[in-house]
Amino acid sequence: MSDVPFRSDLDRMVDRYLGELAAALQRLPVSQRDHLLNEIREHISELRAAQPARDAWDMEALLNRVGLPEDIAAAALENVDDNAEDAVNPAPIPVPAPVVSTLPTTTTTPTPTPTSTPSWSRRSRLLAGFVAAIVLVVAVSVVVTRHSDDVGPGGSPSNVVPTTTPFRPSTPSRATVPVVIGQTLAQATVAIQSTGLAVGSVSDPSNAVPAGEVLSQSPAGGSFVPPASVVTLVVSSGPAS
Amino acid sequence: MRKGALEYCVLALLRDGERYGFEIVRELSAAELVTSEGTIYPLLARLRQDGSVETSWRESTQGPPRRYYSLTADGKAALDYFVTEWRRFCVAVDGILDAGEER
Repeated sequence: MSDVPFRSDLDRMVDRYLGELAAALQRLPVSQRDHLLNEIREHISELRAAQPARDAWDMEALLNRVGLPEDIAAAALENVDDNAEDAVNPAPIPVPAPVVSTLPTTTTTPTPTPTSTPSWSRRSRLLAGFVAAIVLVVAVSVVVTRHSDDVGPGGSPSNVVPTTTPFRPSTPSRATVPVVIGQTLAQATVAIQSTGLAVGSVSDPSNAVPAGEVLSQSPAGGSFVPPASVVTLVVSSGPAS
Repeated sequence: MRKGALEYCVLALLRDGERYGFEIVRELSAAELVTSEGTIYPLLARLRQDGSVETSWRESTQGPPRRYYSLTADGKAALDYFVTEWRRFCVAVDGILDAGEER
């Protein structure tokens, strides 16, 4: 992936799949959900490494092999009934490398089908255009307090400038990034801060998306990150003049 | 029954040493014991909660660190017990099935 600067359509299928899985896992305790999402994410990476998906059909087959989000959720929720509490120590969660995602705000659609990919393609070309424009970093803060030696690979947005943000002493050992694409910057800020995360925003011109609306986010919705991590938003500044 | 046996198949795969999640799932998948590979991860989580397996992170030569699963003493004991019971069960069922065919 190092040679691909932006998320490919296939990456977006994975993002969407994980978003659906995250939605299906709502009833699971947060730490279990994050743990599971991360394992599934890794599993998909391993499958792709073993046999790269060349097109949407390949990716569709790969995701089918992983299973329907509701099936995985059903298996996971079996654990909840007799284990109301997340008894075992919270598992360390590798923080996924930051990505630009176009995960839609609604993630209730069933498993992605190849027929749905054309809209992704259009959207990704659009996005590539946006992101190719000059990126303006507005504000960000990074307050990662928790670090243990078994925390996995870290990643933080590279194009963000730390500033001050009040650190919220939240109890969970990690947080799930909300899906905020399509929301206004104000709505997204509320949603993100309510989970104890900080907001970094970047503006980018867009002919298609009204000014002030979130074009993409990083990490993707459904990702899990240490408390007080930064979620970087790309916000439309309206049509380029 | 298949699902119950699957747990012990996971434990059995760990009998000879630790493995990471993807390896475990791949083995089970190759043996056609699972169709939705993702459903194994909740099972692994349950085994971890039960104390049958424990996990540790290991650096990988390629890609991010991997979570390795290994059998605990409790897990080993549970597996040994299951193997004994399973063999007895198979013999009993085979006896009935074979007797049924002969009639």
